[in-house]
Amino acid sequence: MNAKQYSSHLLHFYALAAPDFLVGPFADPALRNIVYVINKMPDVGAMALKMMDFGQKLCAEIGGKSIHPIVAIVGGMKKPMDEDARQKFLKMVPEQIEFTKKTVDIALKVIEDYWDVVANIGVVPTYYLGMTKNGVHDIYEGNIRVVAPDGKKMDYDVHKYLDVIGEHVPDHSYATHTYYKPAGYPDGIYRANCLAMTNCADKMATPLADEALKAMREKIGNEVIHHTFAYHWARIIETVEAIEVIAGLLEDSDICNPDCKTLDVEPREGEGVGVTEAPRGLLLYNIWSDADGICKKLNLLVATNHNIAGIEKSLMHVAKQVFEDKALDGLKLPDPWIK
Amino acid sequence: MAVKVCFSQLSSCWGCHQSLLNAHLGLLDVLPALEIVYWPTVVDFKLASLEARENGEVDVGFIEGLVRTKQDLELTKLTREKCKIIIAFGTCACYGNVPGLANQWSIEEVQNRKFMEVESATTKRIPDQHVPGFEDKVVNVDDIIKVDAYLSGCPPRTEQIVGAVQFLLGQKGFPMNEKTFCEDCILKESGCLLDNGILCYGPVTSIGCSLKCTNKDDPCVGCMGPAKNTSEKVQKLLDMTKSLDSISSGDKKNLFEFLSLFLNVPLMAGFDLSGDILKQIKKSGKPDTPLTNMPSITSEISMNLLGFLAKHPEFHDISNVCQTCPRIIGKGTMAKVKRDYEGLPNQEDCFIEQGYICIGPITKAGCGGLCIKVNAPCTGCYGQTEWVTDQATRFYKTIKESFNVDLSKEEFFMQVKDPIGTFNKFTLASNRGFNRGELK
Repeated sequence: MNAKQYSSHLLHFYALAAPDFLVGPFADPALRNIVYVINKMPDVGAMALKMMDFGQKLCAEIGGKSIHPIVAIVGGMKKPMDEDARQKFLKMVPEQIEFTKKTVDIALKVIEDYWDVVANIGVVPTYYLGMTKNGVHDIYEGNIRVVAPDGKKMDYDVHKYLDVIGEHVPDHSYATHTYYKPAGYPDGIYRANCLAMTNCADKMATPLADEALKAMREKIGNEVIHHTFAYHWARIIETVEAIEVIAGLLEDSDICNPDCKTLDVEPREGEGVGVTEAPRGLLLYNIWSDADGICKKLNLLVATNHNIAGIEKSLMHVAKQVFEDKALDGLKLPDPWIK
Repeated sequence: MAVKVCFSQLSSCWGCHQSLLNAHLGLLDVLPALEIVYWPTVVDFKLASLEARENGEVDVGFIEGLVRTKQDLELTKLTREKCKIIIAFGTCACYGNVPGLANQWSIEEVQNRKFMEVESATTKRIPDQHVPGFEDKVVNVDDIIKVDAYLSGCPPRTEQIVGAVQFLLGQKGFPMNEKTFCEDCILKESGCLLDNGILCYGPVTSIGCSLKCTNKDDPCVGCMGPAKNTSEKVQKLLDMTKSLDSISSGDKKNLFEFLSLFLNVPLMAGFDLSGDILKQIKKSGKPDTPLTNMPSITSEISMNLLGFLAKHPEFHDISNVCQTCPRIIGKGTMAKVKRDYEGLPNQEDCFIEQGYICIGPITKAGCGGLCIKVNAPCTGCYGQTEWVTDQATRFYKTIKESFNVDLSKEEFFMQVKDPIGTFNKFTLASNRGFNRGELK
């Protein structure tokens, strides 16, 4: 999961977001894309590609496929990691940590260059939905945590999700809007994924990532951060944690233990709820099975649901800023890195 | 000049695009050759810019995803209009994939579950403002438009996508030099490979390559394409191609290379190109597409080689996953159908003979056996090798014939708890018998 987190976040940062910052947000789309960035900044491009490649290859090594991994089964895994593979990836970790540090520097420079944008455009108070384990950032398991716009944190057992999350069906979108039920709709609209996760966390799970989180909080100065552009910063903080967790797991030879299926199960009729944090937000599964263990019904609340209402809210906010308040006039933009 | 490419995304998960991006450093070879005219999320061109293009202006259109909404339908038609070649990119576009399983229910039932009945919904309505509307069923892309090539897989393997892109871009202008490779060959004076009975395609291939395979005693495999003339050794090559009944495995490999490089025949598994020379040979014994602009003796040699293929179906029959699987057959027996949660299969023996259902015997090869490598049986994401309505019975017959299976048909089906999800997981929307109501 952290291998996926690593490659997905880097794909987002370098391939999807960076072209807007490096070439400039108003540049011709034919130039404002990853292909042009790779051509113009081949060193950064090659580093970015090597990082994504590391994450995806590690994911494929463990999961069989990097896209739709197939190795997990009820009760464990179909196969442990091979010792040879563990050694191979372990050797690659120091370079990846260096690359990650360089990426932090690039991200900080982008934030600094675009500070006027970060601080003024799309600062939208909402609730936040994430996951923590004993208050610490965790993408594998834990409680649902909701942070209110004023910073108040509330923890919930996932089995009680129906008390926490409501699903508003809008008339204009097939993607339904989930929201914080006790606050109602639309007041309870929340945002999910990286910035929500860092807002939820008392601290990150690893030292370098925790330092990076402290740096973000020092700069933006709040317990809860509503700056939409800070998502990029939060994404990089999570990327740092991902590589540190990967390093720790690869150092532990127990991930090659052939005793990889630890639970014997029997099919039975029943209902279960599970939760995990994907790179774009919380994945929540509620599954009903029959006596054969065949799924008869399910309710999936996925990242798209958790993000869409927040995206619409921040988009509306920015549209008003841009078109009514003419917020782009006089906004300080840096000279593009790539001309 | 860069090749104009468009990527249209219908209802899908974007995994196929991710698989292409997984080429990572390999992208550096491919991307400069492409002019991306439409690829939402990667390049910020809007749909209007695609609409504004001339019909047929774009060279290659990749369509990913399946047709669930009316917007999908319109984008499919638009992409066809604007592109010369359409590739159904991934199993959703080829066969409907997992979302096609929704065709077991009416659209009203599906919408009702999603918007009205779902446990967490607090507002219950079917969205109807500024939304495209749903199709009654998941529809296959090739039911709507002509598809030129199918690139299946959930997702297709990265190497396969890059290979397909390179093949399609490989409308490489061959130099068609006057002289042949032989003129430049290190073995010209002595040690000619043809004299030693090794198939070498130098006598018909253009001079001018930098690799020069014969420097390492490997035969020329024709990557520079045909020369305007032939060398004096051509008669030797022609004679050898007349009696190709038995060739060594090395010659066989070189024959593959020659066909793909010299004739641009796509030999990659899972890449199914309509107009593909191999498919034509399989159907009629010879290519319908004329081999143009070659010296007549070069054409004759090519036809001999293609004739060899016609007699050897192993070259062009669609292979199945088992043919690429390293597991050992013949050690165990399926006496009970086991499910995922029951024990763990060992990593050496055939899944089926350990009791687990593995769809490999009826699934097209091309994936490289990724699931099998991590001890997971094949679930069929590349699509089936034969299109019959009742894949479950075809599966049972196949394993009963080719594996140790000690279960009657009745016993077997008693123990399979979810036959449609097991045998049609990726292809239900393209199962014409199911669509006609013939599959129970």
